[in-house]
Amino acid sequence: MDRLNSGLDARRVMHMLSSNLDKERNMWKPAVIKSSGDQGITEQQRDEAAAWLAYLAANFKFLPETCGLAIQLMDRVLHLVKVRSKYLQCVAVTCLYIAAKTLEEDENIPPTPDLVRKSRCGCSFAEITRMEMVILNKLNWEIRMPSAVDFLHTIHVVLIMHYPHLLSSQNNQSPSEHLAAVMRKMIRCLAWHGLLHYRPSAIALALISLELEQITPGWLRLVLALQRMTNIGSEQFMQCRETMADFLGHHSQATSMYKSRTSSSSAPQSKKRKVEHVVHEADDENIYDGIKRLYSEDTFVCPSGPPLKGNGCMDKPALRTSCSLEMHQDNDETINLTRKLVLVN
Amino acid sequence: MQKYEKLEKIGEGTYGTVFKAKNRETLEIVALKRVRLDDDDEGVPSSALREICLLKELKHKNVVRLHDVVHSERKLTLVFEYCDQDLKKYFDACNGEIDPDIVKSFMCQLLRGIAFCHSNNVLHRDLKPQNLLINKNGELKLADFGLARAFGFPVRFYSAEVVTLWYRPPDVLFGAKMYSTSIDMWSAGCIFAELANAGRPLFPGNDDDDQLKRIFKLLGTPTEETWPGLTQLPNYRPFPMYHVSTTWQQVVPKLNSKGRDLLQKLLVCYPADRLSAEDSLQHPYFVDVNPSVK
Repeated sequence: MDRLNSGLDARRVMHMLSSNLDKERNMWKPAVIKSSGDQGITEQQRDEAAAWLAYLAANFKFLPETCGLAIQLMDRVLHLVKVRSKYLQCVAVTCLYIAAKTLEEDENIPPTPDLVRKSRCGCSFAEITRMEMVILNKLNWEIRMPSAVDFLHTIHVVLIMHYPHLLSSQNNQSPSEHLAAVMRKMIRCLAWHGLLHYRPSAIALALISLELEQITPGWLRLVLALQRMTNIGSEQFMQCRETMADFLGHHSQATSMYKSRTSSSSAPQSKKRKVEHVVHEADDENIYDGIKRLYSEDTFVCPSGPPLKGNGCMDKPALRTSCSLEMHQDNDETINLTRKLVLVN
Repeated sequence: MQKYEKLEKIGEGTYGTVFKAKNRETLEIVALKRVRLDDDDEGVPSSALREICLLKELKHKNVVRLHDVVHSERKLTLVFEYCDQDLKKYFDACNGEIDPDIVKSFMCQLLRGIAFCHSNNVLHRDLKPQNLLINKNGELKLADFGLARAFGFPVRFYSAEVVTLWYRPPDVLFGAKMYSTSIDMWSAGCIFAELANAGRPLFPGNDDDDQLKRIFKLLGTPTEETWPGLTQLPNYRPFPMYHVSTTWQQVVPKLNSKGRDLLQKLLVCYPADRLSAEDSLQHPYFVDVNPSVK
């Protein structure tokens, strides 16, 4: 497969990978959740919000990329701003909205009232549009940053292009079925705070390496080649891989990866049952849908997206906002909606 | 917005009014694009959001520069570099004649702008004369990225509701949703012919069918042999087998043979065979392009 369905060739794919790595180098910072005293966000709450976003993204039939970007935006916001826990849902759902507007086609973006209703986020439509401006200003409109989902996709393509027979031992699993399965694990990883201080590219490579170990005895050679290609430091990569293996419930082969290959579990058990549960509830097919086109397996089937925009009678928001809103981000680091919104009738 | 003194209205963009304005401090002339934010609307329009995010990254002399985004009460103002006119207005004012060197210079700059976007994994998806700005130094810049998007993985269904009809490639007219950079190259070909003919559009169709007929009458009706996968496109329908009866010399009489060769390589129905922006720039047509453009 020297050419993908879209006419992308190996050279372009490598170019895409390296430009994403450049962007990551320039933009990425480890996300540390700022806690503001007893009202701050706990890691547990962050994980629940991330899993909720994954669930919503699947329900709205968004791409895995949109989900990856939404979680990343939320983490960046939580890193920059002290958010009170009662506003976490509003921040999270707004990040999903921004990610969808950035990556999804217009016909696939739900109108705000639909987003409010279907997500049951508990915030009003006006609150979301207000929050949107606060977040965009806070992030200086620098939205497009590659997430671990983007890297997973690109690295997977690189692998399949260079080793078209890689999956031959996998009971005829197609590349997209394989990627879809790995993508589900990726979404689980993104909903766990334990990986927050690793680069998205390192997270993607760590997950790929854990997968490769299960399907080919030559995995180490492949992983080393990918590591050179992506220029991810060994130490960062090893640590990330080990942490992830623990989380995903792989028998920890990570520590011995440079020594020998040991058998591994094929059915990873999560320690975080709750997170796993929520993500698995999500429409798995949707993840697969987004992927299978990549490898020419399903070219012309139309996705059944959410209803198109502008279909008449939507629930009008109960709350209207006054005209005299001050939407400039002030110096106060706390996003405090009640101060930003003057709600009148 | 005290920083800028509004001078005059220039036009209406896809999602807002555009004004010419002056920076009170630096006296620099800028273009302000104003986006209204209504409460019962969708918040920041997705086209504005994408345009801002993409243009923040795309800094190139053939891509319009976004200087700033100013958010004030219930509106958003995008501050752009100012250009005197767009290519459409340039055509209207040229009296049916454009110097061949200027045609070459504009085409070269157009391709450089596109090549830069594509190398940054961005599709413009709405290239047409109205969206190409020309400043008084004869510099051409890609503008209006409201329909633009980043491409990457997964290769996905994009919207087929892109590109203004006259500049829309046959694959998209047949409902293809898996297009890539080749979508912009077709539009570039159409604009090239229009430049060479001093503003006469190449394929001014009235609707999808008429548009395809005009294309096939010039290029011949494609078949499964010349275009693998053609008959499986979502909106494929058979067309009469037109045989090419017009020569390229008749189509673009003022364009030299190298230019005609480049044009033919851009206007290819089968998207995978369309020349890329990067390769177009290596075409012999540009060997003697004006050094000031180089």
